[in-house]
Amino acid sequence: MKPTQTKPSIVFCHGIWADGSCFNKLIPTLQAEGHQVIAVQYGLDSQAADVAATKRTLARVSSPAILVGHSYGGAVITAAGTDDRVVGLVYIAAVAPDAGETVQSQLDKYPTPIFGHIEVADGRVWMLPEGVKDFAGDLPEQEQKVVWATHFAPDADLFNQKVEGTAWKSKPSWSIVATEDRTVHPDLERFLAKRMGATTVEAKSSHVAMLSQPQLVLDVIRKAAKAAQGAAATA
Amino acid sequence: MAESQVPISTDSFTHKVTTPAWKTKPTWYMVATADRSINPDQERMMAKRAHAKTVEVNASHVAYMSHPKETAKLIEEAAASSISSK
Repeated sequence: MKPTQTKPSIVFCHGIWADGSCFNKLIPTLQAEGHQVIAVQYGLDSQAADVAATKRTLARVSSPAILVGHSYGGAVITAAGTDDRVVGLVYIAAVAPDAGETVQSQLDKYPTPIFGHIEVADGRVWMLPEGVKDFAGDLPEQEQKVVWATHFAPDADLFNQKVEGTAWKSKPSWSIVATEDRTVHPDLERFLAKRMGATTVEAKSSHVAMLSQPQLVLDVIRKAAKAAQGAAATA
Repeated sequence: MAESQVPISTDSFTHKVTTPAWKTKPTWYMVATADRSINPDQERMMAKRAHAKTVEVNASHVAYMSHPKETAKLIEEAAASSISSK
């Protein structure tokens, strides 16, 4: 890696029913454009552990970095983003709790169809096969089946936990609202984007915008990275 | 792939298995002959010890990515065999 890297690193934080490879459609382009990229892999066992994994992963790339969170990953970047190495936040169809809020308390206010297609077993929350239509319904059927086959079930208590830190209050934020989202309600995404003062883009997409609209998501990440570069140049 | 790796716990590799399933269940094994993560000779030894139905592919450690067809074929063989033995 060049010692005088000018582009911020991009660090991805996945949601539930996914892992770091859900960003695979974005990673090659960002690398080709000169970013160091790493997708955090965390266990969805506890939010504190997932935030800790994100901070460990931040140390594997050069600073500064942009944190990009999908879905529950929005809660992770909200907490981990207070780290000094982070200069911007990108939320993809994501939650963004304030102090005193949990992911569950946010979701409860805006119910969505997906949660009629889950099963809690062995302490984990599993997506039933028919639920993938409410998670990734705009992908080709074959791709939807892969999404289901590789879904990573979180601990049943994960959404009731809260880790300290509300990075969107101090870091510039971007938000992608998925207007056809049946997992996190689009109106919740709009409310959160407005509350955090995010630069917001609406995508006609299911919950998995990074899979169904990778170009749009890339554009938003590029804008966030460019803004961070600009800020560093004038600092 | 390097970008979405899962770091392993340092404990994972020192933990001992007490009842290896290959002693009691039918076993298939794909040896990756160009493997630089697990030594191919070690793979051959384990395949033989498990009396596995073994195929060799000229692949790196991630044989399922570089040789997905061969890997799927081996899994399909295992699946077909377990149905016909019932």
